[in-house]
Amino acid sequence: MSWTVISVARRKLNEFFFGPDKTRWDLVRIGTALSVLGPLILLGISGNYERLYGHYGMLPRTEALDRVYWPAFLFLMKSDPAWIWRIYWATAAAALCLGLGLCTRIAAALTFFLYVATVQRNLLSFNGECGILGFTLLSLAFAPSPQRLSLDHLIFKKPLPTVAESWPARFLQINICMMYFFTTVGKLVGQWDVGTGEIWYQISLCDWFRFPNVEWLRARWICWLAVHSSLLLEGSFAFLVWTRLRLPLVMLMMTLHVLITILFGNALFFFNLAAIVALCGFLRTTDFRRPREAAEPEILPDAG
Amino acid sequence: MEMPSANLPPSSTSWREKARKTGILLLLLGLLLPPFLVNIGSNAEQAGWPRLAKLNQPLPFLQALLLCQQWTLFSQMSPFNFTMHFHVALTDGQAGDLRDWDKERAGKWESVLFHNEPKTELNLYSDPGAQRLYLEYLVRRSGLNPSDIARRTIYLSYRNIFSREKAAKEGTYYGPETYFVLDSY
Repeated sequence: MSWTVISVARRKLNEFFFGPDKTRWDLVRIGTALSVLGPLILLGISGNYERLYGHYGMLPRTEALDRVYWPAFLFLMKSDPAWIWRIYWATAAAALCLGLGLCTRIAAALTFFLYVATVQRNLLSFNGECGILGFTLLSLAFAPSPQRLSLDHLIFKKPLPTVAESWPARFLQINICMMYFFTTVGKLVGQWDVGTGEIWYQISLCDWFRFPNVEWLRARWICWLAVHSSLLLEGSFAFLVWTRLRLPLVMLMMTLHVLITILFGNALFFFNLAAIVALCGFLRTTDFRRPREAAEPEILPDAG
Repeated sequence: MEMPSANLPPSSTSWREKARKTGILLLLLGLLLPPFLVNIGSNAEQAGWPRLAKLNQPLPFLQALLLCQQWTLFSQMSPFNFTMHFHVALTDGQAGDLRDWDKERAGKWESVLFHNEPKTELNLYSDPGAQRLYLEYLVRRSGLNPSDIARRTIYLSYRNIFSREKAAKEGTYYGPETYFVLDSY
């Protein structure tokens, strides 16, 4: 009896991690590259890159030597102030290759390391999207490659992988589940006044909120609805996303992030973009197809 | 020369396959379990459960690679609207707030070009060491000689948000502007 249970569990585990992968990696890849490139371009043209990561910036090189984690030593290894700009262009080039799907895995691994090194150089620049992009970029370094919408496949005619395993997608998905689950737990055990939803009243008056003058946005029932529906959605996501509710739930979650982008200041734009991109890791190539098309088995070009 | 796996006897292939899959599972476990435990510990800390809170241990290797996030941070917010100020008093009696020329140069594009600045300010608020370093950066950018500065003061100007009942009574949502000195040296 127990032997049967063990073998069933092993089969399920094998299916879960090593079953065929139909994840929309192309969406994850392109979105992740944009989430890295967008802020990088803004950092470069504003002078904020030098301000945050420069040898004579907010955290001078001499001070940083004793304060940063090892990936940031990439920035500190040369005393030439122009050195950080070489890292800047290398990061931009790696992210561009990732977005275009050129040597995807190498580009993802390189972008991951350069991105981590940049954030670690000055942790004042650390924020929500950094955590999300960390695990998304690492998943991309292991994800099946080349992908559909990539130069490797479209221009250089590299065949799509015949056998793709799910474990890189599972890594991404489990991380997203942990993110939403622990955020909800944090809100429940923290200082949030969850009962009446008055935390939303406070949020609607903070200087990050775009519409502090719109009175109805803090009506009691809106406060209650905003807090409880977001908690329900985030809290149940980690469990329900593995059921048939996956697609509507993921779409609902993406809508929530779009709504947050509209309601709040620019500071939350790239965070929500990164979250939406990571959520694409739950989308399958068969989603959004007509029922008959989706039911047909996928014929990969080089599978004959 | 390595033999292609297709030419290997079945038992050898299956052994290799099992080893590969076990390796991948161990790697995933190594990457996913630590943040899971850290987050349980972090939440337990907030909830006041000291025994579970011990799970929140530093994991320098994963933290260095941004792979051990404390997702509870997403559920925290500052309870007021604040602005940080960096004030210097010079030995010749002059005094004033330091200005960040990079941000001011951006003009009306500041909210786009410095889109993450509110988060940077939140990080600054929670890191007194970084506040001092930022003040010194502003001193350098202003062209001031550090030896000419007699006193440095870092302070917040903030406005509390009134509760719904108090706001109805006062006729405004915001409390009066208040100042709070974070550091002076």
